[in-house]
Amino acid sequence: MDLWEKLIELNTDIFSEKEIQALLLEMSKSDDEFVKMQAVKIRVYLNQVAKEEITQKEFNSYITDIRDLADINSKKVDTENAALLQRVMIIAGKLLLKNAFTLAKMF
Amino acid sequence: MKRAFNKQLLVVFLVIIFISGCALFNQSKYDKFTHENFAFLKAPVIKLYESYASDEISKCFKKYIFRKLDQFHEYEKWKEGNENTVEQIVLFKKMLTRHFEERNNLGVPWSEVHMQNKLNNVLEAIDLMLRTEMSKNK
Repeated sequence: MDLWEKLIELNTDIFSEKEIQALLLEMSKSDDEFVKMQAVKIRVYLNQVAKEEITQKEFNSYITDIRDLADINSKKVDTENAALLQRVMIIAGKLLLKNAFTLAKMF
Repeated sequence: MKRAFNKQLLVVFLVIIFISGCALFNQSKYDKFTHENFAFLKAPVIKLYESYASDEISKCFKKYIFRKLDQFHEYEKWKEGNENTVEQIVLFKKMLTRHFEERNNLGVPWSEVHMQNKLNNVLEAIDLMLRTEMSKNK
């Protein structure tokens, strides 16, 4: 049985074949390494479902895992952004302090 | 003279604004101890998940991991500006609990493929927490 036929059989009421293909293609093209990685994993899982190495219930539990991983990843991105902003503020503050008197004289 | 004085005051004011800005973006710094805590968690997690594919779940590793996570949570929550790491620990613990319940309710060993898939997801979560810590300023 074809991989996509199998998937449709499993999730007919949730996604269509085109929707899943489009979604995975979109994920694969993403600039975000995390999203790309999840697309690769979902393809592996779908192949495993097709080969009957895993069950539909197990497949669904991986999707829940990916949701949790996405939440953990969003906290990582928030921390990276805050750290970058903090570095910029510190550098700008240092520069301003260093040149404060020069700036004052310029006025 | 008065105009020059006003502009000097303006510069001083700008400096104060910048310093306040820096204080607003108060974020916890990189902590070697936190990094080690997460890195050292991998080995017992692998052992626990391997036991999910066997007849008997390793209660010993399960107890050890969950106790460690409670300790990490307690240690991290008192650091200022560390909400993201604390929330990551909560999410990670939720993930481990769900996996344990799935295996426990199933009553039979996980297949090798299923165990590897689950283990990869859990190890990915630990890597994300490690990268979060590494992204913090030193």
